[in-house]
Amino acid sequence: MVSLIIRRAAMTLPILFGVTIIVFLLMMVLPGDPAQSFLAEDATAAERDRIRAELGLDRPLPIQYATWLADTVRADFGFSPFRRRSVSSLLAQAWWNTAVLAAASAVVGLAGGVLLGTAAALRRGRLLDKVISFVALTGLSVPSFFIAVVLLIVFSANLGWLPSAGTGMDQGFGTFLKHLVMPMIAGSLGTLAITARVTRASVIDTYGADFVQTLRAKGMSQSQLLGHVAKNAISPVLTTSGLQIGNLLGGAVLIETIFRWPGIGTLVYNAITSRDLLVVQGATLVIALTFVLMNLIVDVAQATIDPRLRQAVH
Amino acid sequence: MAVQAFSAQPVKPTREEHDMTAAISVPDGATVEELRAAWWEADHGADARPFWTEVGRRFVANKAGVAALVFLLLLTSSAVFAPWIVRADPLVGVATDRLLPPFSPGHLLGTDEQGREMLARLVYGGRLSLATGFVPTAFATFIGTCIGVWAGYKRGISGTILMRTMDMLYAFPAILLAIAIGASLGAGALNSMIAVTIVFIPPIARIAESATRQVAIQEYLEASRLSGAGTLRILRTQVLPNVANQILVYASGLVGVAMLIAAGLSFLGLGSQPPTPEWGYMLNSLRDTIYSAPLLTVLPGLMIFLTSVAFNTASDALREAMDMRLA
Amino acid sequence: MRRDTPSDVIDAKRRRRTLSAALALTLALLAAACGTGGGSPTDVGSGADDVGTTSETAGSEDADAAAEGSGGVLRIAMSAANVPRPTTPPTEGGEGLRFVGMTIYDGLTRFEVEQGEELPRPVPALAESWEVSEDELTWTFTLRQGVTYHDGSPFNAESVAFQFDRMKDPEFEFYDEFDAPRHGEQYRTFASWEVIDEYTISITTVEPNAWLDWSLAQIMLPSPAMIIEHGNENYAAYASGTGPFRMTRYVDGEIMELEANENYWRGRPKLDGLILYPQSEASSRTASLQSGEVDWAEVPAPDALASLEADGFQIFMTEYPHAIMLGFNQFREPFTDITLRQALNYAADREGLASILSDTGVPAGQYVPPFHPAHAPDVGFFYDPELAAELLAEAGYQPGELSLTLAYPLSGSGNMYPNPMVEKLQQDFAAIGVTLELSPYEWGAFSDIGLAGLEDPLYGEYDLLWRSPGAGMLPNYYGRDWICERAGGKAQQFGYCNTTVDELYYEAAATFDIDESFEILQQAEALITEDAAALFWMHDLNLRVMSPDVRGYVHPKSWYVDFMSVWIEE
Repeated sequence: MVSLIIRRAAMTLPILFGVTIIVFLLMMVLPGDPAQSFLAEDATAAERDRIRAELGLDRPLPIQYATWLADTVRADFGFSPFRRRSVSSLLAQAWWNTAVLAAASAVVGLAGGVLLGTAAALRRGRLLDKVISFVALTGLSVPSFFIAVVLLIVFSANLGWLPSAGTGMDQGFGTFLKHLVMPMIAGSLGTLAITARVTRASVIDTYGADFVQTLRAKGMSQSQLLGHVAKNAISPVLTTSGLQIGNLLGGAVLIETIFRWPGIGTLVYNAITSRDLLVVQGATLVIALTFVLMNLIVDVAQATIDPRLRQAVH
Repeated sequence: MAVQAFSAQPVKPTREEHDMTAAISVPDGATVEELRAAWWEADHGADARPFWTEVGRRFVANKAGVAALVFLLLLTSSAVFAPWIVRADPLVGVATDRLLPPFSPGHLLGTDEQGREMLARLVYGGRLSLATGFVPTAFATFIGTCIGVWAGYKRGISGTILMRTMDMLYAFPAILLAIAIGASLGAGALNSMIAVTIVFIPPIARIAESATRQVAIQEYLEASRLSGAGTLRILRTQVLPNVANQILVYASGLVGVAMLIAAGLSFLGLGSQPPTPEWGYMLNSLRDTIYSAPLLTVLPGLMIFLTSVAFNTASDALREAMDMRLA
Repeated sequence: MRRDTPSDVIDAKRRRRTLSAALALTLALLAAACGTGGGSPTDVGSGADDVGTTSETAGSEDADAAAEGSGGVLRIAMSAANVPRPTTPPTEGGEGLRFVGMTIYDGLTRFEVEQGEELPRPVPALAESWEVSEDELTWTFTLRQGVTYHDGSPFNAESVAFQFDRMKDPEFEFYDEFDAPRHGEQYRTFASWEVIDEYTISITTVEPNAWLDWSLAQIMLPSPAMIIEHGNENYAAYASGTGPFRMTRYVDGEIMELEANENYWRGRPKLDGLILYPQSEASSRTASLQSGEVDWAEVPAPDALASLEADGFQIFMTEYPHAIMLGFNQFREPFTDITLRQALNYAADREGLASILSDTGVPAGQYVPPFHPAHAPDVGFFYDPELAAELLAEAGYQPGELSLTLAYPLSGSGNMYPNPMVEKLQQDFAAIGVTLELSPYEWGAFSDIGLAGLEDPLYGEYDLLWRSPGAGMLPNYYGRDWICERAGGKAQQFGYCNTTVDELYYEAAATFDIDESFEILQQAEALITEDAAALFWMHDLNLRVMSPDVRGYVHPKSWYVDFMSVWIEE
């Protein structure tokens, strides 16, 4: 088990390295000059050069990248001249906000999805199955930003039940929960839908497997049977979860913008638009790192549940 | 945005699943397909239908699947033959006749925020919208399959590099990748399709790779290899036909996802550009009129929704039809 | 969350009625003036210049009641994507200066934004008075005494010189290498400055600059003590000025809270405090306003106005010096031809666009709106598709022959609503057989095009360039927008150059009687219009929505506002 973790962890390093190169290259081809954002309309060439030197933009690309990498290894993500803050402090603030929202969305989406999926599988072909399948399809087929806007208008603007914006984290837990509801629903719907579908398919699959037939033939009760099925059906669900968490972390930019949730999605989006290279680099790396870690955890969890997979993972 | 591997089912018996005691007769030099068909026949009796006929029969028996397919065909043909279906110009509006509600005289589905005929925009909008769903999926399927099949068959250094590159792209959240690509290439339908294509390649490559690995350990491949067949020939004649089903089922579910990502990019201004109507763009430009004309706002959203549901339903039906264990 | 008490609800309803009446009247006037009330397009806009001189009247209702109340914390949903950083100058452009700059800080002068009738001009602020020397190069300011910064340190001539050094002298210990270049424009004519005594400071300019007092209103003065103590890098967390509000809480990306400065030299503001939220999504701002989480929302979606109005919210609109126009690329063909520039100016259906934008803008016939002192009376463009088609033919183009590309921003404060606007323009151009291709940029990247100009080979492919200047908000904006060579040495953004305009501009800039100065600018304005230098398109109406509880607000003809008279009725 330990060697599995080490092997997998070692494999993530080149992935993260590659991610940073991709981001760096992407930023280089973005139109627009980061230095320009600091300058008044009638700035002189000298002022421009001074800013470029200050930002390190006058150095050759590989050197810029190497410098960044060397600092990053020492956990120093550099300084954002746009925000006049260290990138690490920006990331810490945004990552925490996003992590809270993503965790809540993940819990609701995954737990809800597993429940609905299992229920649908157990009632296969009946009304409940059809209703759940339709709900899951809906979750997959409506843009999340549209759901967010509709929620906002119904529950905030018209009914006034839920706050429209902000995290409310500094106003007590009750207020925070109220603030959390709508972004969480809008954010978790996709996860809920996918998890429900995968769970349903996996449970149905397992029920058809030979060992279940054998157990059933041996006269095992339905609830005992369910335990065995769950253990075997969980693997694809876990795989899905790992992938979903990545999307919840980085894909929330639309929801974060609409609900004024100061998370890492908006941070990256604003950084891309203002060409704040170091923030884009740092944030992407942190998102990728979180994603890779979550999937490592998922792999290990899978291997723990199903020893057969230990061989297959590498 | 959800890009997700569905668990694909084995579609035809492999050697292990086939009851080897049953007598079969196949001509020498039979392809794997023929061999499997023979096994199939042996397992299911001489009058068992060929695989694809059976799949077709079962698909047709699935009412939801058929309805979805018919809907998609109707949608595609109405988009293609738009000028014969609606007479109003989708591009020119009357500013004073804006936001007329559905069922207004002369405007069956009302008018949009520029006073343009909504029905015409929805019908013409199908052209680009279906393209934003279909084109990236098709390209990503092609490229992803090539990468995955090569990596799964060859393994070794080239395979590892390819798949680790896919992992890198995968570790990059889809919508952020699309934003970065959109910001680099500029806004527009074509660039948003390129972005979605790049986002879709890694998951398809993964599925293709794992499917190929399963196939690659089969004895018949070893046999072809020993008989001196070239790699490309083996891939084309032996591997591809056996992994295509899994990939196809997965890819058909991506069309709806592609449309959703495209709509999300429109929200950020990186999607298709006017004047050509497109549902994602329409949904966004009508988003702010939700206060004064909520019904109109819902229309393009409804089209995206129905299309996505139809693709997913058809995809589900296809998968079930191909899963012989459910027979 | 605040809930209305019954009396408030009744009050809101009463206000709603007066408001609706006022709005109805306004709309009726507008309709009568420009004929949008059902006329065919051809009888619309017989002269764009007499259109839309109305202004929203809701604000003036409060004028009588201005002395009635005080107190409350005003919560504002800004359209900026981030909380403006409270440096000098703040970030986030005009919005930053409005909500963070002019609340925390003062300048030597300030704009007279407590009135909503005319173009706000500079009046004394931290400088009580000033004199200009015989040679018109040296300005001597007498400073206000007994003013302290929020941190308790005294305001004096040394502290003013400190900020000038910080922005203008690269050798100075506290020179701010990031903020200084952003602030270059206001300091452009500064040659030197001298502390004469504790409350007297003089500024010498490189050339006579009659509008120095206008520039000074945008130069915010921070507390040197805080900068010395915390350094330029960390100053923002300790921002301290002499302004009406002091910063009590600042979370970058989330919120800023300010409280009333009890010792403000203009008297304590009526409000107890301000809370600022960055909320770049229009629908989100609108929802926050409707749910009672904020009292003031910048630029909601125009189509939400009807529903906001029905719910009793106060809607403020007024003509102010701000324009949306499209610069014709005059560095090359085809827009070196004035006939073609005129043709397209007549092709734009401005009234139709106004109705698409729910009348949150009015047609523009020239650079500045009609109330502006430099507005040229007898010139201006309007919608005339037949004339446009004729001129197009005269310029040598058959319908279908001309295809143009427009570079424009997707959003950005002060850009109104780019998407519906360019979509409408596509239709207008198509009507005379001209194709318009769109090249959208997000705001950050778009600003770069404006700064580089179409002269830059990178952007030379664009035929039209979106511009959203604060048209004539400061007289030197004429220089920024129209003279042949910009201060940085680059050509005018889209290649317009008329040496007579340049001469008039420099003459006006050296004319120390401001009214005379505007008269000279008026001649320049007429020339620019006659040259059809750009497609003059829309004047934004500075849309802003507030809850019925916000009282005492005056909607000025400016980007900036006065918070002194505002209070919240509890």
